Formats: sequence, structure tokens, C-alpha cells
Amino acid sequence: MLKNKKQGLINDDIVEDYKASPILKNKKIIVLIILIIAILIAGTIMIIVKGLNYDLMYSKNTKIQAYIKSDFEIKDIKKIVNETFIGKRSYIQNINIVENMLIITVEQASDDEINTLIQKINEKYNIELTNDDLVINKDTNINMIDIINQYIAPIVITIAIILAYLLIRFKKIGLFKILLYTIASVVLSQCLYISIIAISRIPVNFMTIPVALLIFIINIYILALIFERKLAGEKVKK
Amino acid sequence: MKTYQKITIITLILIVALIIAINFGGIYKLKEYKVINVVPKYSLGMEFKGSRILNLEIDDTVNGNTVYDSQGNVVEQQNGIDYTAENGYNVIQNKVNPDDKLTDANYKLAKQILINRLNKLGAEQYIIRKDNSGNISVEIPENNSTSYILSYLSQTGKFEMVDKESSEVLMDNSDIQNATVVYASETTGTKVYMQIQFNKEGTKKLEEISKIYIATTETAEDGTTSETTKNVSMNFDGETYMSTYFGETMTNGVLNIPIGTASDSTKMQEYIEKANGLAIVLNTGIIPLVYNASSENVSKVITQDLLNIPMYVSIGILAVGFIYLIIKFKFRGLLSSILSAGFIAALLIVLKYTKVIITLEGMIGIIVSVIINYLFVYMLLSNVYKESIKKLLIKFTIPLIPIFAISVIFTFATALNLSSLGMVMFWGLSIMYIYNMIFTYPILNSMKKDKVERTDKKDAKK
Repeated sequence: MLKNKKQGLINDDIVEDYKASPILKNKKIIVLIILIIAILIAGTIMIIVKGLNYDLMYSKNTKIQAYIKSDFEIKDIKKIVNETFIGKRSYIQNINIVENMLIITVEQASDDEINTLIQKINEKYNIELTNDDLVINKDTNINMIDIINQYIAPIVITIAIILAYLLIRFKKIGLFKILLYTIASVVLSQCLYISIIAISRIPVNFMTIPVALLIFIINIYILALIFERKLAGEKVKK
Repeated sequence: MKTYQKITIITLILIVALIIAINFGGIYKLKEYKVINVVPKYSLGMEFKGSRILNLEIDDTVNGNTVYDSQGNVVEQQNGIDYTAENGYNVIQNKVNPDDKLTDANYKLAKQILINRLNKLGAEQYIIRKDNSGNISVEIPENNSTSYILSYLSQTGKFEMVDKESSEVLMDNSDIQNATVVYASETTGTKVYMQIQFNKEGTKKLEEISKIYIATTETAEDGTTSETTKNVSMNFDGETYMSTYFGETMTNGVLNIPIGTASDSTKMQEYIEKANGLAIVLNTGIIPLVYNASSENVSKVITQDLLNIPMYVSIGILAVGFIYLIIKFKFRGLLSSILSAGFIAALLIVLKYTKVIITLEGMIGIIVSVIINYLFVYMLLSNVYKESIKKLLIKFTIPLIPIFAISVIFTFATALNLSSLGMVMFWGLSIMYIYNMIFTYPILNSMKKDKVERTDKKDAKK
């Protein structure tokens, strides 16, 4: 033990951690496990009952493309859109290659609302925009599976390679333990993340997958650190 | 602290300050009477740059009607006759997309074919939507290959080899095994072909066709000879691409369709892209429905306003981290905080010069790199007086091996989002070692020597 300590690979904290009581005897961990299970159950119920709260760009929407024929500020258009489509989510983009052209994305747009929008834009910019000047496209929600599909193969390969590495490096801890901890922690952390999104009604948008990847990377790093400590503990034990 | 140590620390800190200044300010040079920043800009992904949307709407055009009599025979329509059900006629609209084709299975197939084409045409990022009526929209980043990708996405992919005169279909997509691009050097330049490899049945058909559609020489009674040719036409999506006859019997089931002869690299690239696009369209199959295509350009989804909040939150967390280092390690913590800021600047400069495309996932890579660098600096601060740098490096690197594995695997992923994350992380981890070995460790080490000397002096006095 001392030899290892002299080498600087193991410190007293590790030894104490290793000597600590089994997981289930630790009250804090029991509370944590109960909390995780509760979040998972609540998240599952929420997904079944209400589904996930998809952001406007990911859900069913109407895109209204308009050429304003005058200089405009996005914030002014936003104000008009908010006044027209009351209580509906909206998003405004200008078109890169055509000056004074914009796309208004709203949840739904009735004929009356579109007429009001035209009227308000005409009043604001003193132009004569008509219904015929608009291009209206109705988009359906994005199938998340289509987006996730692109990530599946690289992530499966990554997990397989990491798992192989962990199994070789930490075989002394026990192959089954390594396999179980790795798969369980990866699956559980992602399920927990989805559950929190579902419960808190955070919109599923372009940030959802990057954050999931961040959780995955941090999870793998922490797992590797824990296994290193456990391995050091095993050496101490011997 | 000895003078040379002070000079070393000040010099290194000044270099770090310079790195920070270069990243956030730039390097300005006079070029063509203008002062311009020569540091490249970031290469950004679709979400930060803008995109183009291809809208594919099911074509609901009706090309007249076909009238059937009570026996089911097609009736040639004449003026003055009322072709109605009451009069015993069955009138069927000739829809471009017949009702029996408008099925969910066909909508799904069309979408899958588009996804396959996007992947094979090298679309780095895409968002695809399909509504219940079969209309599909595809969003891809705006860059040099956008028009190229969209032009092949909207093609139906129907190939036919027909008799030029009678328009009888001799071969079609069902006879094709696969299509590739091949080249041949000739005196006039490099000839680019799309090579179609036919399947077993197609090979037999091609052999038969190549015996029939040939040039024949006929000798008239007066002894004059004349050459007549029996031609086939190659049609793509109903448009005749070329008409030709066979000079020899094709027994190997391979047909080379010439795309063009290139005398320079630009033309060569153009022909290769065309041949490759056609080959991909043939390999991915026929879209079962006819769509009307239109496209629109849209600006970036993530604007500065949207980025501000996460950016300020990240800066806030980082500031708290730096304050913690300063409180815990005093002057060394302050130096390390400055050095960590230098690391971020160094990473961003490398990302600019290496032209790594930064997507949202790439930004996550930057966050991961900053976190790992912080942990590395913290470990150095805590242990640099206790253990050798070699041991510290080993201790820190071993748990990082899985993260290196993730960065390498993701770098080679076809989806730009993942490859961006992989590349940023790879650079982040590599620079972390190089940067800290050049700046952080020498500074902390020189302070360590100073501390050791002071301790020795104290011991000597005692």
C-alpha cells in the first residue's frame, strides 16, 4: 500500500473511500436512488401522457415567406407578429440572399390572421402587400428518430470500443461489474436527462442533442475516474 | 524569486496575453490599400450560418381524362358526347400521381430514398420533414455544394434504355445492379464515364440489345454501300441523355455512358460530380412519386440573441472557477486563471486556422476542452510540489483515454455535428497538453523551485 502511495498513484482519500461502507448502507445514496427512480417514473408518465414539448422549429408550423419591399427591423416585425398571432409561438428569420425578404414561422396561421398580418405590415411600412405576394408552407413536426439516426452508429461504435477498453483495463474489478456499471450509467443518465426535459417542459430544440452528448462525455469520464479509484482500491486491498 | 525566473514568468505571461489579443482582436495587415484582419474567421455549421430548404410537394396535376365504356374499353373522346356515368362511361382522371400510389408506404420510401441520397451526396447536416400528405422538406447548410446536392435530390431517378424510333422500353432500373464513376485517359483529355453494372438479367438483355442495335452496311444493286444504324436512347427521368448504337456485343453486363472529356482539372471535377450525382441517383432507386420542387434560403437559426444567454452563463461559471482558483491558490491561482484564458484563446485560434466546422456539438467540444483543461490546471496546482510532472501526466491521462477514443471516433463520423464535436475535442485535448507544458507547467515549476529554495533557507537558519 505504502509503495503505491509513494508512487503517488493512490492517496489516503482513495483508501478511505474504498473502506467506506457498502453503497446501500449509505443513506445519502439511498435517497439519491429513490430520487432518480421518482424522476424516471414521473418523466415516463409525462412522456406517455403529454409527450415532449417540441420547440416551434421542430414541431408542426406554418412558414410565411414575404417580400417587404422596404427596409425593416426584425424587432418591429416581431412586434406585429406577436400582436397578430396572440399567444402563439413565432420565429422570424430574414432570407440570406434576398434583401428585405423574411420568413415568419408560427404554430398555426388562419386566413384571418394572415390578412391581419398583411394589413399591419402595410400600415407600418406603407406598402401594398397582398395575399398573392406571400408564399405559405406548412411544415410538420420533425421526426426525432430521423435526427437521432445519424448519431446511433458512431455512438454504438464508441460505446463498444470504450467498453472493450474498460473491460481490459479494469478486469480486476470484475467484467460483469464493469459491463453493468458502464451500460447502466450511460442509459440511466440519458433517461434521466429525457425525464427532466419531459417534467420541466423544457422545449426539445437544437440544444437537446448537444447537451445529451455533453452528458454522455462527462458520464464516461467520471466512470473512468471511478474505475481508476476502484482499481487503486483493489490494489490496496491486495 | 530570482531575476531569471521573474523574466521567464513575465515573458510567458506576455506571450499568453498576445495569444489572447490575437484571438479576440486579430492580426491586421495592409493589403490592397486596406487594413484587414488576416486571422481566418470561424467555419460555422448550418445553425450559425444559414441554410437552404428544398420543398417537395406532391404533384397533383391532372393530365386530362381517360374514358372507358361499359365493357372497360378505352373510348376515343369526341366532341358533343357527354361522357358521364349516367351514359354508361367510366371517366378516370389521368393524375400524375394516381390515388393508389399516394400511400404512406410510398411517402416513407420517398423519404428514405432522399435520406440515402443526402448521405451519399455528402450532405454534412440535414433536417428532413414529411407530412401526412407526403410532402417533404429537406434543409441543408448553405455552402458550395448546396445546389449540387439539391439538384440530385429532386430527381426521380428513372433510367430507361429505349428504342429510339419506337420508344419501346428495352431496359430500366430493375436491370441495374449498381452505378459508379470511371475515367479513361485519351489524347484529347480525360474521359469521364458513368459505368452501369447490370444484374444477371440485365446482362442478358444488354447482350441481346447490343447484337440488334448496331450499324449495318448495305450494298445496293449498283454496288454503292450505305450505313444504317439502329439506335437506342438513354433516358433519365424521361429526358433523353444520349442516343447511340453498339459497336460490339456487350457480354460483361457493363455499360459506360460518357459524361464528358476534360482537358483541365475544373472540367474534370465538374464531370466527376455529374457522373457521381447520376450514379448516386441510380443506386438509391426511383422515388415512387412525382414532386414539384421549390427551394428557399433561410438565415441562421441561432442568432447572437439566442447565443448570448448560454455564453454569459458559461463565462459566469468560468469566472466562478477562476475566483475559486485565486482564493485557493492565491497568486498561483491568478496566474493559472490567466493561463487558462490563454488556453481558450489558443484553442480558438487553432480551430480558426484548421477550419474545423463549428456546430452546436462543436461548441460542446469547446466546453468539454475547457472543463478538462481546468481540471488539469487544478491538478497541477494541487500536486506540482508533491509529484513529478511525468507521474502527474500519467495520472491525468489514463482516465482521459475513453475521451480520446470518443474524439477520434466522432472525428470520422459522417454527420457533421458529430465530426465537429470529435475534431474540436481532439484539438482541445492535444492543445491542452502542449499549451500547459509550454506555459503553465514552467511557470508553476519555477515558482516551485522558488518555494523549495525558501524552505531550504528557512531550514538552514533554524
